[in-house]
Amino acid sequence: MTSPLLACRGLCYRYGALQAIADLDFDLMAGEMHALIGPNGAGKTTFVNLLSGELPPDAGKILLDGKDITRAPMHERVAAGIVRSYQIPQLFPRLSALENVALALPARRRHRYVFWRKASTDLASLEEAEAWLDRVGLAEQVGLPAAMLSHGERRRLELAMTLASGARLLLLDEPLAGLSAEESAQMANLIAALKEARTVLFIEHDLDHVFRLAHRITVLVEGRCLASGDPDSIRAHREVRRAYLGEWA
Amino acid sequence: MLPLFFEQAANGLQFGLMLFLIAAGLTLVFGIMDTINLAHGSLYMVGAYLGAHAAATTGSFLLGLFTATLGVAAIGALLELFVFRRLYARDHLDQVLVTFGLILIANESVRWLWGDRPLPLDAPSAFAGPVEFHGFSYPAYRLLLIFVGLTLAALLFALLKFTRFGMWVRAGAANRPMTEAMGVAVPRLFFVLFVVGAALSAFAGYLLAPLSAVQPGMGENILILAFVVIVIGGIGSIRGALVASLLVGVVDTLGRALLPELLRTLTNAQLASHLGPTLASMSIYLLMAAVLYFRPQGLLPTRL
Amino acid sequence: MKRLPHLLLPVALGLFATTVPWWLAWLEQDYYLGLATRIVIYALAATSLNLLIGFSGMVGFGHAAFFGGAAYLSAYLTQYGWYSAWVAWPLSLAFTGVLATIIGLFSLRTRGVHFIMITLAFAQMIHYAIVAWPAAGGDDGLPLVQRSSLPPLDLADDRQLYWLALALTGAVLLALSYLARTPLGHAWIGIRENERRMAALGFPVLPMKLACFVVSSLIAGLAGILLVQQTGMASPTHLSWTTSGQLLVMALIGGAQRITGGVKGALILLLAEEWLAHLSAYPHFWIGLLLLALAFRGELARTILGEKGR
Repeated sequence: MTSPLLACRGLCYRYGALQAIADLDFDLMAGEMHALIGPNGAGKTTFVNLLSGELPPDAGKILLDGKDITRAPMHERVAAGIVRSYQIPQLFPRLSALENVALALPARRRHRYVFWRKASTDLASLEEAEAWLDRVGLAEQVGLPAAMLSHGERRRLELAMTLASGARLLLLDEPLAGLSAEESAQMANLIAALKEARTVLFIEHDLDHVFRLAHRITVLVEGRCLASGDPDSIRAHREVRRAYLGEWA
Repeated sequence: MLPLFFEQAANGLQFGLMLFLIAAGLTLVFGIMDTINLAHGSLYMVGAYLGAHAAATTGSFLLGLFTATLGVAAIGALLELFVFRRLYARDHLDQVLVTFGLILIANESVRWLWGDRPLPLDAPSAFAGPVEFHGFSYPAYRLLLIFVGLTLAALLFALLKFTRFGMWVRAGAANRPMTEAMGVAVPRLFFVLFVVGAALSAFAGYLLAPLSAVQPGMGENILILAFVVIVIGGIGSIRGALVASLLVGVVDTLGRALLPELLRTLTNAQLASHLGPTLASMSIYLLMAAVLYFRPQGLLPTRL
Repeated sequence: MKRLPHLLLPVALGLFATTVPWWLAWLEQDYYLGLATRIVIYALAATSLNLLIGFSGMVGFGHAAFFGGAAYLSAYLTQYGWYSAWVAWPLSLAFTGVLATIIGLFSLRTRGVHFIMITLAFAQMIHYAIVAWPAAGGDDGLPLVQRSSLPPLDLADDRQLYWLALALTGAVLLALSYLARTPLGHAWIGIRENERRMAALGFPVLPMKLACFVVSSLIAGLAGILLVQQTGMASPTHLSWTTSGQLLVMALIGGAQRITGGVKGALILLLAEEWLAHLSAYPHFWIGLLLLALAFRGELARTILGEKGR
């Protein structure tokens, strides 16, 4: 039995009277592609916010490689290798696609206080950023400001930034939301290509994509883990079928 | 020591209530329209000038009060229609630019019309002397201000609580997108709020005039105090404004009166005479910094 | 080659600004050298706000605290015979830096309107603290015993003071336009554009904003020190919130997010003030109208052009 890359024990978070995450235990193995599903308001995004450090949990522990990161600020988690994406792409609207990705590179993080050298002299970084844009199919849009991109292009730019960060653990919050069928398939392929190379936890509503992409699926309902297992066992799970899959059937 | 303490506490209450009348309109404009109005203090100043002028010409204190309130309400209406209406949707930088310009215009206008020297205004003769109460004596005019301030505050709360208009205001302050959802009522709501806020501020400006000087620039110190009040209370929160006004009024008044004395008993006289006034004038800003540090949204925020 | 026309305007303006003392002497208008010096100094002070607003999106409404604070301390030091600029100026700036760090640590917990107000409140606090302190001369202000000695320059000569202010302002402008192209500049711009995203990308947003705030304050402080040299006096006005407002207005009317915005703003505002003071006993009335006209220039143009069209 190998130990998990990321582990949560007894995680709790509440918004006023609403218990968004209730005593949640969760394990994420290195290299796995893990889907988080559940009805609206199940606490999926809250969970991602707790893992990325945007919200402090009320109780419980988050361990990365066995190291406690429960109270670590966001930038320390990024340095440790956790990076998230957003349900609504969070871009720098007036900066070019290239500059958006360049800001995500680890080199820029390390050189954040460098004021004596122009950023444009770091050619390696610019090439790297271009390579990431190429990888998500945005090679043509390198110089366009993010605000000028279509919704589908913004989603891919968001993914390129997440990838460029060099993180080993990616938290993707609904990477397919709002995309056309064709764009969704394209994005799903991009994510599928990450298998083995990175550990991914993603939120998704479209179960076809979930069953195709994921090694393991966790079903979240009212902040609790209803079921967790490989796609076949989740498909067969009676409670999941009744409480959850029925909604789409 | 004790009578002094009670007198100063009452002064603090009186000042706090007047501060509330000034801050009430400002906090709602801030909370609901998300608009910075640096010129709010100018409305206060213009109120004092109009009132003092009317009182001097007619000889009637009450007529001065009407002139101040209604005159500034009219000015407020014009400002809303021609300036602020175009400003709500702009960013804070434009709002700072425009309202800073309005301050300059207001200050120069009163200098133009009334000159540089302060305008005198006496309290009405019926309230000129002190009242005796169980051996304490307290100026009747200040007592009147406490009474008027309490009445108006109660009236304002009743309006906000029991009328449809008040319901809109509270809804808008608690949840700004809600104001947009209310549709057609919004321009009218903003207009009424702005005019009422202007009138209340002028009302307080006139009533405070016999206790302070009517002069150019008088609006600016009060503006800063009103800002402190609404930040401490929580932007857009009328209950917060009341609590914070009283807090600021009392801390400021008591600080100035008692802090130097208190320091003298704690440390040597020379240091106390240096430190006392400094600390006293800083006290409300220290209060504000402390509140913001521990509760960045203010004491009684309207939204989560 | 391509960049030549791009550089032409700044170089021409720089040359003109450098030769201003000779032009004035030739026109026998030496009186205006003081005004020119003031414009350069206020341009520097307003530029500090362009740095703060343009790079990291924070609208500071309390820069009078740093402008006036450094002014007071540098004047205070001359009372004790500290005339050397090499000692007194860095000391004053160090004080400004400490002040800015403390104020920044509190203020940066807030954003938007709250940030505007809390910086204003801190500036008021500094204002009252200094004016109430007996050694600072109260409402009368604090006179400078003599201008600082800064060998090999002789600051007692008005022209040399002008050139020094001009050189420092020019250096700051050049440094900022270079900074905009460095990794640090890009990170600050990222914070302005989308603070949340920068945090999610692993940038420690708070310390980076604090750094921007402190650098901006130091520039304002430097301007304050220079102003005292020119006026011979640190006065409560330099600490008052109207000074904060004036600096902010200068930074805004020239274009808040442009590095040269403050220079343009200081030129427009101070020249208008000087000119209007000759025409009217109430110059600020017209300045107020000017600010309104600038803010509503879009609407005004539409009204005028629209009527012409009909």
